[in-house]
Amino acid sequence: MELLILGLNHKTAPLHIRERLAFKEEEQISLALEANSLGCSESFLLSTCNRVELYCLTSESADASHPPADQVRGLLSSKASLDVGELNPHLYSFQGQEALHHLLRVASSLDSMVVGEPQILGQLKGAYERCRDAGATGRSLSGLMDQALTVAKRVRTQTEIGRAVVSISSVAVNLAEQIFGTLTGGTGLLVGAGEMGELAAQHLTQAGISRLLVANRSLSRASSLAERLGGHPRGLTELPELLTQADIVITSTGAHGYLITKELVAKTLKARKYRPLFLIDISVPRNIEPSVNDHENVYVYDVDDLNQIASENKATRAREAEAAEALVLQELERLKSRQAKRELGPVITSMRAQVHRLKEEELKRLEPRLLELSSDQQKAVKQLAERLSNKLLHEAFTGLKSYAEHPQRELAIEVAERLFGLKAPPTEPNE
Amino acid sequence: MHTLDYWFLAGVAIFLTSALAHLTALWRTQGIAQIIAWRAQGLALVYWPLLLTCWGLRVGEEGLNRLLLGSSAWLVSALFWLSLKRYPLAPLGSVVSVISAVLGALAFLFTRPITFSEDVSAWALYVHIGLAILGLTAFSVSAVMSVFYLWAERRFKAKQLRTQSGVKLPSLITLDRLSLKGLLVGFPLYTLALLIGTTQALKSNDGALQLSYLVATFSWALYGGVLQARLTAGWRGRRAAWLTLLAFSGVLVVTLQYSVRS
Repeated sequence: MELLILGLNHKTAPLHIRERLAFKEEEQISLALEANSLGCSESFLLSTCNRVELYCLTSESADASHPPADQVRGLLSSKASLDVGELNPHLYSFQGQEALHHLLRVASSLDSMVVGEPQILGQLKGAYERCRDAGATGRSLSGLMDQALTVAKRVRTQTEIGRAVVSISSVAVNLAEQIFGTLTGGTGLLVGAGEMGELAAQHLTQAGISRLLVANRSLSRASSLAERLGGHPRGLTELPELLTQADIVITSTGAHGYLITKELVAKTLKARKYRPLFLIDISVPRNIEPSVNDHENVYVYDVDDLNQIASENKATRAREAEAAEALVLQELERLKSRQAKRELGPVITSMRAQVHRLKEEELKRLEPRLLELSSDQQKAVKQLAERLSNKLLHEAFTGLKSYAEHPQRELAIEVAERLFGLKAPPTEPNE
Repeated sequence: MHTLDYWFLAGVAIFLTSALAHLTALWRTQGIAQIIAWRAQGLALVYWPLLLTCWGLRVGEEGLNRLLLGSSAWLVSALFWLSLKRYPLAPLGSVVSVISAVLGALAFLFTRPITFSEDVSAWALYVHIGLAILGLTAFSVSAVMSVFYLWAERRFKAKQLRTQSGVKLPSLITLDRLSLKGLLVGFPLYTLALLIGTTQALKSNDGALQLSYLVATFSWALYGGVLQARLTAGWRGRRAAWLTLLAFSGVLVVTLQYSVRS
């Protein structure tokens, strides 16, 4: 059995091609089942906005005239309603160890658009489980998936790849959490209706903020935005009062000049009972006077500050990605070695059975003569035979296992099989 | 040296091992240092009560000095251990272990029995010392939190922080809240200790104005002021942290002076 991966992703295919291959959950299942009917023994399909990949196990004795890779290629192109020639330049395929390496990289989020993002692991697991529940996968793919998930978890815990947030909004939420701990129970204030501000407010809401106030010059605009975000609309004239209520303020307006000045904030401090105030200025030109940061318990971060942190975090992720790649390669080697040893299993079992059979035969042949001995002596002879065969086998197994990853592994297996009489010797050519 | 002295020394060594390992773990979050740090601290939590029980049974009330300081060392660690269940304070383990080690070292060094004039009631003096040490423990926690608050706040203001770094401290609000909790526990204990100490000093005609009395009273007043401002006017943050540290340094000076005198 060999793992075959056929697919495309954000690096190999533009959006209009990826759109054609975006499959719904039920379509993913039916496609995996169809792949099985085309010569794969187990399959599942991963379909996310950035990648579509079919993972299948192919038998080494598959029909050579109709290789499963070609069949699956045809299947994908027919589902995408594209010619094979049109789809082929965007498709990649991996087989065997390369495919296993790719699976580990995908699961560890090393092949993602945003390296280290956590969603891919859940998406991969979900895709596999859906197809498994529909009977499209079996024990072999299950083993591979278990290994991939273990490696992905190791990468996540042993490197910092997923810890440094890289989007402006996530950085803002992360900073807010460093001030307030939990955001639950906090009040957010969004000033303006800029796109970035809206996105940051959405992140705050997702992070558990209890109340969101939306202030705008136009109350109707504030109302529609508040409705979208699940907040409360307010007019911009109420800003001084709103500043006494808010814990986190996001400004994102097109206004020229400062809306929040040092003086304005100074007036609110006592009324706020000196509660910390986190001000995030995403507007250009800025809406918050930078010297507001001089006030005690007040923290101002503008778009450049957030960008700097985000880019430093990106650099951290890149560094950690290198460590993660090394970890994946190390795990791959370990898996290869384990797999190679597992592949020796059938030969080892046959060798053991053969020696056991020979031992039993010899003991049976000697049985009449053994009867002349005392029971202790009989026992000693049987133990001798047992120990001798075990010792011989132990030496042979050790020798064979040392060839598990050797290029001449096949030759070693053949020699062992011949030595132990598991395979007939080659016939001598007639002179 | 008494045989038990060596055991006290071993107790201090355990705290120091934990502190060093905790400090190492600040730079290497994974690995052996972290394991050693927590194992050593766990060992200290079991070891010190046994040691202090042996000491109490063997020496009796003459060994009260050591008993109280040793208990205080243990208590700081135990409180920290308990608070870990609620707050993400693991990086502070290094500081807590150092405080415990210092208190343990003081317990090892100050072995002379407490002497007092005939006018002073023995129980009052014991209660005074006990309360003062417990108050000092709570104030230590408060001071440690204030130091961490000031450090974290400074980095935040200067925008020097990363959203992720090797040392992950609790949030600013958590540090500030824990500092306040230390004050809330320490202040009543320290007030009682001061009251008992003053009455006994007046009784024994030792009421002559000494610098240590002035410093102790000043620190107490400062703590009281900070607490009052925090609870009524909502003071928090940098100013409260600096004043807490100023008051703590006063308490520390008084404690060291008495320890040296004993």
